[in-house]
Amino acid sequence: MALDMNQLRKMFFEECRENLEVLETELLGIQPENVDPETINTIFRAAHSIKGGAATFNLLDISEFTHAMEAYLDEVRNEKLSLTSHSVDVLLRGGDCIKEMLVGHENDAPVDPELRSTVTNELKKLLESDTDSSSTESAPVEDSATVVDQNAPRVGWHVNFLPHQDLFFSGNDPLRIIGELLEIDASAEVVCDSSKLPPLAGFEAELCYLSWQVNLDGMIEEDAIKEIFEWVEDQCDLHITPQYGDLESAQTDTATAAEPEAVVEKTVSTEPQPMAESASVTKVAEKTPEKATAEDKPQRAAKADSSVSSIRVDIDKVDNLINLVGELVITQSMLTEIGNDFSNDKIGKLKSGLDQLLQNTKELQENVLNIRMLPMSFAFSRFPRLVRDLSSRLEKQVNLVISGEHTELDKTVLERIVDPLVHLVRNGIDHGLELPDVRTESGKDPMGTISLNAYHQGGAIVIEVKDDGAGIDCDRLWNKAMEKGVVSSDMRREEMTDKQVLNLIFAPGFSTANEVSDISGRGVGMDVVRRNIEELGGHIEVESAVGVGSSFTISLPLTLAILDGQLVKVAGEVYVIPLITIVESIQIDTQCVKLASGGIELYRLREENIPILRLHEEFGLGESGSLDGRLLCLVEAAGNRIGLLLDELLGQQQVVIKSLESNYTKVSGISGATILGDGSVSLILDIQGLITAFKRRQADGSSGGIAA
Amino acid sequence: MSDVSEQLPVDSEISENADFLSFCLAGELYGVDIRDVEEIRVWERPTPIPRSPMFIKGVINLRGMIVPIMDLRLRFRVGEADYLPTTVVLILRSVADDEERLIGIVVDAVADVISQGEQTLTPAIGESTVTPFVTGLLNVGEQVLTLLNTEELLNIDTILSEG
Repeated sequence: MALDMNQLRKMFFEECRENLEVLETELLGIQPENVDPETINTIFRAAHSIKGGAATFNLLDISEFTHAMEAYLDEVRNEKLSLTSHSVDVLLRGGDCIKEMLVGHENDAPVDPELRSTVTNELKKLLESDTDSSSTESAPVEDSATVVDQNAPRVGWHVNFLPHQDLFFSGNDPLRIIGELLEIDASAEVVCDSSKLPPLAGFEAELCYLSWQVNLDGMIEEDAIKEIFEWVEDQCDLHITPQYGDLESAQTDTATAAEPEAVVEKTVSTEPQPMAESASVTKVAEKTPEKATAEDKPQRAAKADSSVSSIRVDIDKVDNLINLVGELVITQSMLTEIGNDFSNDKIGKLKSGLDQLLQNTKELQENVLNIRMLPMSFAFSRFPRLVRDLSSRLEKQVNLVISGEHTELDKTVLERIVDPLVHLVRNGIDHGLELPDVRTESGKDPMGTISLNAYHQGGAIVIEVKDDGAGIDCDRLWNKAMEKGVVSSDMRREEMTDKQVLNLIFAPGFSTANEVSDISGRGVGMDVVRRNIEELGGHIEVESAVGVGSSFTISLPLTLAILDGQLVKVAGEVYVIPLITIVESIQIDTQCVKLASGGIELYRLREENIPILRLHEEFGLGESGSLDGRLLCLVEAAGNRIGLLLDELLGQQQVVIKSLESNYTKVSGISGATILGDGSVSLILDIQGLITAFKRRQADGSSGGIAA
Repeated sequence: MSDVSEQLPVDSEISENADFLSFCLAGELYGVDIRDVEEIRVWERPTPIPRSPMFIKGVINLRGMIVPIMDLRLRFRVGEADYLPTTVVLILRSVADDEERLIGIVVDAVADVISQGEQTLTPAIGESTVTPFVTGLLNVGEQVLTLLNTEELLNIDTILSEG
């Protein structure tokens, strides 16, 4: 087999994830009292595909487990059982189980069997409320191998497996099926009938001409046998007949009935044939896991982001790229033409050609970045489930409103924003929304609303998480902050605006509190949320009104790979300041420079005191000297402003961010590097890091402290 | 260089028959396993990195990658850092925890490719700033070559702790 099994497995994992998503989405949409049969069919099909795929790839735990889910769904589909909200819960957890097993297989990690067995048991219970036939089916694991039917007088099964000629087209392999039969009964006799093989000239390699007779031990449950063939049910003729009494006579009986001619020839070849079959089967079986582990190891080095390593791209985007490349080629040949026979009168043509090249490059860049863009629904799709689970656990009624799920965002950013969003939504339901009777009392709809919205604004994306809950009481928040020591005890409430007080929930001190639910305690872990967002180059704001609700607004850059930068010069070195952080640049008027709190330089700008950070000293580039007439670049991150002392402002340009860490290490105050037009390296300033470090030094009391 | 690579032993053991790239550093002869050398470049001024150890001269652009450059003379404290026309940068590669790292080292001049042949390495003796990075010593004619361990040399934690 020259096929790359690993590649195929990867495809299966991806497909399986998609099916799981379908399963979950459909299950979440179900109203148990009014179920659309088409929905059940969709769910059933998803489970069925997972099971089939898993079996093909020898992921037996998944296929066995999914079989139990499928068995139950089948009963529902046939209207023998009806869905309840409990069974939807069990099925949802089943989906989680499969997901876990999937991750386990991908990373070669063991999976906690406990969840799996609890869900299997619950599924069994669901099935047991029905007839007996299905209950045996629900536990194929035990049935197939160990359960012994005492009453069965039969001594064997005679299985006649006549695949249709087109069996291979459905991706099925008789060898695998026979291998499975041999697994449940190693002593089974397999007789291959090759009498339908055409003469060599008329032989089509893609058709199946063979059929098989298998004699199995009678102790095996019929269902176990049927299960093996389930996947090819409609692509073969299958007869499973029990054999009673004397084995020999029974065998001849049925054999004569089925294949009168073949038997005579075959009796001789009976022995070697199954040997050959089983030998090749075991070889395959041994090989696959071995190969899998060997090949999985280097993959594990790429760590657990296996689900992240590939991307599905809309075909339109690819078409667009191809068009653009086509245009680029045309421009290139046009420029070559001009270059071949250049004279000064063609300078106008050359210029327009270069303009076109610029345009093409720009568009190409945009489109290439676009490939990494994924719709927000990638992140939003998990929330219906989360909301459902949480609302039932907290006995709250929640209506989730999602909009802007088609807004696109870079894959990396998207993946890293999910956790903060989950946190915000969870907090919104847990602490923000009131219990139904409280809501009714205060004249609100007992059903609370959480809304998620995403939209583009300028070069950024804005994500809003809103609830119509109790809101955050600033005064109580303030008291809590005092208690926790988040604000220093000599601060006074009147000195801060409500907005500043609200921002206290992002303070690190709050997160250490175990429960702060009495003040719709949004503090738990909020500092982490903010840090994650700021690491992505974004920021978060909060608004809240008591009794009306709270709203969190996150804005993020569209991509992490490229940023709009302002090139600046400090002591002869060129640095890049992310344009998004720059508020304004001013020429220093020494009249406005004030000294305070032990030598910290402040710049008075329209009633605001802005601390001055001398980059020369900060980066150990020498003395910066007098401030008079120098440039101050006002930057802002997370609501804090600071003035960077510079020598010169250069141009603005888009820069591609390169990692310093891959060959060196993270450097404080520097977020990365980029390569300028002349090939030289320029460092990108980490404004947030600079401000945090500066503030910490101030708090430590070391006046203007210079770390070198 | 092509006949050199033909002589390369197939096994990755450094113990025998390895080829070393030797270079001069403050009058001494040093060597690194030639398989760790990514490329040899002329000296160009790197972009300084704030708050880095004094022997880290900065970073350069190596075909789109950002690669730090360290001055071995400064690190080993064996001489003044003056950059002459013969000054070269060896870009070395080390693999640790499945991650490849490239770092350039500034040396006075590249000397020769030396084959270990039948000789065995003698252990380093004495104590100096260099000993933590030494794999062993090798006689090369009248001179003694100090063979350096690339992995140790490029260990980022060691580099930062020395800063």
